[in-house]
Amino acid sequence: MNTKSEDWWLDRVSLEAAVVQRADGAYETQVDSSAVRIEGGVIVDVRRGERVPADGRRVFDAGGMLLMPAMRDTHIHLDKTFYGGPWRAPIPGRSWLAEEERLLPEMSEQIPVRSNAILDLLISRGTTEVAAHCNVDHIVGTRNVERLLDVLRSRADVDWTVIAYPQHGLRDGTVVPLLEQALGLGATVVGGIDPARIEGDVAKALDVTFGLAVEHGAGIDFHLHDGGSLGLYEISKILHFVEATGWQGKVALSNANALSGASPDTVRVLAERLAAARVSVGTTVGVSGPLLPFAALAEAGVDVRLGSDSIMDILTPFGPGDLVEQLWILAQRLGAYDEWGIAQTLHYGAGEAGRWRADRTRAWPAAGDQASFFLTPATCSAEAIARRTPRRHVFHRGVQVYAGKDL
Amino acid sequence: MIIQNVLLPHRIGRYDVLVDGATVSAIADSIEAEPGVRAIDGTGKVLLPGFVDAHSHLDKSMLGRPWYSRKPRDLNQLLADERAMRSAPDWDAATQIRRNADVMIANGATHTRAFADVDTEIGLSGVEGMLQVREELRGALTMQVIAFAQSGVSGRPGTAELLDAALAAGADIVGGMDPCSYERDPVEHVDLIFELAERHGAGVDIHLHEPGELGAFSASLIIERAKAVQLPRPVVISHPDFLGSVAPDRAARIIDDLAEAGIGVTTCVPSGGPMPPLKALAEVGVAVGVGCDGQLDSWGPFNRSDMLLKVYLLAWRCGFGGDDDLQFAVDLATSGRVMGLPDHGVGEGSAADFVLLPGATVGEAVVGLPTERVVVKAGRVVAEEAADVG
Repeated sequence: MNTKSEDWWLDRVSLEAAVVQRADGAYETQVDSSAVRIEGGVIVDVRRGERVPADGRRVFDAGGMLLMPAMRDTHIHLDKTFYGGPWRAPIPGRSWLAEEERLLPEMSEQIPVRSNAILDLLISRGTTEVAAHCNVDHIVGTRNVERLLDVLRSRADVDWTVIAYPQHGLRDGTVVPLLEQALGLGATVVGGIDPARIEGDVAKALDVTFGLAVEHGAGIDFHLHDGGSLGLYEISKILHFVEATGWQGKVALSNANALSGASPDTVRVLAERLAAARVSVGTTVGVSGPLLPFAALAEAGVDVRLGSDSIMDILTPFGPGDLVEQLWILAQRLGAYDEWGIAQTLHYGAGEAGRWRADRTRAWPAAGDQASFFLTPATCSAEAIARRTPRRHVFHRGVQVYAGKDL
Repeated sequence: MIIQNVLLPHRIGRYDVLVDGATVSAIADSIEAEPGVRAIDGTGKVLLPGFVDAHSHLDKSMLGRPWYSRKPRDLNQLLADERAMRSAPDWDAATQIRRNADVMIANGATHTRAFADVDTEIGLSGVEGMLQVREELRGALTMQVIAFAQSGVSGRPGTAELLDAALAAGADIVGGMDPCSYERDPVEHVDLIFELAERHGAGVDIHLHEPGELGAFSASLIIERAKAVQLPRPVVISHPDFLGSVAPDRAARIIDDLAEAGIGVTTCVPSGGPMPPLKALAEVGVAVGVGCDGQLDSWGPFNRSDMLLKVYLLAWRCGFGGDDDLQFAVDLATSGRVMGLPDHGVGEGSAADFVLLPGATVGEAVVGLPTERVVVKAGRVVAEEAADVG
């Protein structure tokens, strides 16, 4: 069936309904074989436990596969990668900032090829939305933003946000005009980096960043690598600025490594402030390294999202470009084991569409939801995550954007 | 068979590798093969020794069975359910072992040390299934079978006799379980395991999940016995994660003791908790093996019998990003030492057991996780595509 922006039916698709605890104690996911109607890129009708009506036309037969919400990559660097080019391992012992200064011009040239290659990879793994941190600095100016926007605007198979990211700091304010330029080009979020360790003058850096955002009506996303008490101070300081500028709901923290090592009491207090200011936290999850206190943040109501961060960059060749693989790693690191434990990680990759209610039922999919999802041969989302089942068909706003091979 | 123009580990340049029967007969810049010899183009590829899955639990795998809904994790409940599942009439040990082994081979392993549970409920059915599959797969996979007291010996009278019978029936190695935390009488347990090994000329492999100083204490008992008793096969400690949690100077002394006692270790690269210091172990000459552990079993749904994925996770976990470090990770995962096969490798005269992977370097083959994998065992292609990869 050709699903190109037409109105169509999805038939015999498995939808999760609830996770129940059986008499023997095991958690089991209940699913309904269902029919779903898509019109204009939006889900308009969900018929649980039913088949497509007899007069239904343009039917895609899911053959019993599970419907999973599309993944959303909340933090990715599409503009500086070796992915899609020749193999290049990091050279141990080199300063990566210096190495980046050296390699950026060459990497910038490759943006049309390599960012497209990464986007193809992400989409084939079920991700159809990206928040791309894009370098704005004294080396490439706004060239990376220009080149990346050209690529993103040429594609209809992914939703995107571009963050103008001063990777090398504001450099005494000289980068500020470049950030303004990037916002004029089409970036909608102002980035920032470690206000203490990189910028030095914490208050001034935050003042400039928040000033830019307020002036341009832009969001803010801070890279915070600083750990320990320094990083906690930065988070507290940023919260102060959010409250002072009324920028609640428009600010995100990336990495926020300091939260990983903080005491439970400190985390609780900061988590409450983050939730109140609707500051979200984006992170990548590796098989080693610090792990955010996911449970405490989620409990306080902080929106925590996963991202790929880097895929084959100067620092590391690792980074899969697959948010389901990230969920697979996260579930293991959190010690999830049964279906309920694993299923609860889903929203970190899929956002609201992946969230379970407290009574272990699922709201998604419902009429009005964006028709971005994938089909996978799994009985439940816990299996899809634990076995990383193949993503067979990926849809974005109602249109098929990837068809995997049948195994 | 001749593999042409291929990159080899620890060598500069590209080579032709000529295989005669089950053995590598020549490696040179360019070899004229006789007509009729099967030629495999190695351009853009690396040829590694076949992976050695040094710690597998083929008998536990639920591959090919319906998805299994788990209870909240509880060790004793888990073990009870696992025994019950495998005592049920719909469980066929050989079938499950074979399903897992086929995946393991397709993903590039040519050797494995395979644990088979032995307990008073399932008896020797796991060991018998393992011996049957070992015979079936003789041309594709070298298997050492470990008769493993997963459910303990001290709390289950009759288990020692079953282990004895398993070794008599053809198991190569006797496997023990946490001497302190599970068996509760560490000296008795370690003595029993070594006595069984001595009686049958078998090897020893002890699961040691015990953390910190407790693990160090159990290891000291194993070291003591290994020094006192000369066994014809290696003594191995599995999961020595405690080495990553005791003080580094203490770990260094234990590692020296392991080297002196000739004890090997295997890691399955835990997803959390401490990692044993692999480079420190390798530097003093301790044989280090890497294994995929259980695959889709009672213990968890996440693992895959995929040694290339395991190397990728190991390297990522240890921060091995450069080409040399990635090669080191591959060296561990292809080492035959814990199986008592010091010559496993790609060299003239070595067994023709390989995996051929796309990649400009060994490192790229690891990070890229290619699904194209040509697996050669005893000079014969046994698989050409990875299995169970998502």
